[in-house]
Amino acid sequence: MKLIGVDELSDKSRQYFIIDTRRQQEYETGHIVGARVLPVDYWLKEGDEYGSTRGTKMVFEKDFISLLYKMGVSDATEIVVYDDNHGRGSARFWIVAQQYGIENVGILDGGWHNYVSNGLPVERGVCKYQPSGYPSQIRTREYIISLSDLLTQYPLLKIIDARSDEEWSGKDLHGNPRGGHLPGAIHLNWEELISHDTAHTFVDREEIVSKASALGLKRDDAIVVYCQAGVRAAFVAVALIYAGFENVKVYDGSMCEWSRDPSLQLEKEIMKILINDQEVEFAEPMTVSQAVRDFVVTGEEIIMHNGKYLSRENCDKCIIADGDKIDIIKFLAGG
Amino acid sequence: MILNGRTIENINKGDIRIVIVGCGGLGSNVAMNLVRAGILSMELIDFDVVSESNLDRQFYFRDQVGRPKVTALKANLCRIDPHADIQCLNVRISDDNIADILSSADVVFECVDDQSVKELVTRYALVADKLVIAASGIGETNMKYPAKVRKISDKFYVVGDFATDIRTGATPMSAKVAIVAAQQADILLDILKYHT
Repeated sequence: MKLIGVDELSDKSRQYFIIDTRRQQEYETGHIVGARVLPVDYWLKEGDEYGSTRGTKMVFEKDFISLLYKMGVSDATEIVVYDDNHGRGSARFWIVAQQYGIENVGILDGGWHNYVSNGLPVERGVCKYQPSGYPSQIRTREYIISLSDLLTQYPLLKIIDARSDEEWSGKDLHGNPRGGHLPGAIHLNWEELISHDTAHTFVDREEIVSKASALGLKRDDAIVVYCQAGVRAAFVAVALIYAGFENVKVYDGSMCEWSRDPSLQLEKEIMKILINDQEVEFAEPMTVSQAVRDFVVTGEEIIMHNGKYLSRENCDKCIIADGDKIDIIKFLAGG
Repeated sequence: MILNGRTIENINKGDIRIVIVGCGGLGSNVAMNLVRAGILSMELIDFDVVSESNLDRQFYFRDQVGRPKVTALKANLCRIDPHADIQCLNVRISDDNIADILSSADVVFECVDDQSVKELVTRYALVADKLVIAASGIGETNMKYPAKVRKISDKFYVVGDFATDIRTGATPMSAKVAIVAAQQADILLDILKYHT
């Protein structure tokens, strides 16, 4: 996996085939000179992101390949792909392209924003294609794993969850019917792999390796990354491949598919909350009002959340978290 | 601890604005304990007059029956220490006047009898970030229903047995009420002595 610096694009000795994965409208408003547009949504998310229960959300191989060659990609083309969402769109493109044997793909490090902030030339308008011939031979590779293969190989795999802390814990359902994470999964929030400078480039190889090692991952582990719908997972997979991990795949159905099959287990963090100094366990995210339901008698009680007063309205809004301390003060007449 | 924007360590002891809301069994005994400990400046809030039935537990005397509690209590406190600097407000606290009465307070002692007024005073004082020392459950004996101190935060304490309710038949008795009041006063004395 190659990361291409924005300065390398201006190297006249290389003829890059540049692909913009942003939306059509954004492309037409301004894009890198010579870029072709291929919005992620076109070939990634057919139908509703949350409504679909399909095992794979990828476009079919034949459609993807013919689309690329219609755009003018040929066997010898050196593709550079970019996005404006911190590398996620590009990573997704990279994974799908590898799966279908389009190997020569680099990612523009820092993407559109990094390019523009360097004052490099842009152009506007619609995309013009110059189709090339259909490739003689396609070698598909295994960068995507289906649900059935995932289940068969499960004990042998290191499963990585690329989502946010709230999605991982089950606090944020993200439109899914159930929350939590896959049994035995390891949490690696994709945002940990973007540098937090203004360019939003990938973090250094060394940093990716050290984060992965800290999570117990080894270079030759069979790794499967998932997220909600396979985009953030592609980002983490690409980062790991970039850092030298050899056997990394994306579970394309991700939580979107897994959470909708009631026979598949999810692990959730049990939240331990102190209510009036008594330990109470909760498995589901809920508001303070819901958590104190069994303790409240009149509804007039004063509710304190981690030592702070909560109005009744805020009790309905505030979501509990592990380690919270809730005190319910019921006043009895007499003074 | 910050009280009304001032760090408690930097406030002169005599300069802390203490408001005692309710001057019955709790309030009269809280004030008495504070004055004996040398805390001489405070404001007393109560709408009621001393009645004969109060004498079984409140810090008043038979010759004061019929007088407003706030002025009777002030007189008693000044007999302990003539330098006591006591402000009196003979009103019933309510939604309409609570902000005027409590806005400048640093410390609020909730010593009210009525349950809904207890809630009103405590809610206001918590939202206004006062040091709040409240009471809940002061009836019967301490042997049967022992009073506890619940420290909810650095600035919110509730003392009481959390079980007895005068409205549902518990009897208020001198010793128990005095214990709860003494614990309320003790919290402020502890903060001033050991945490400033």
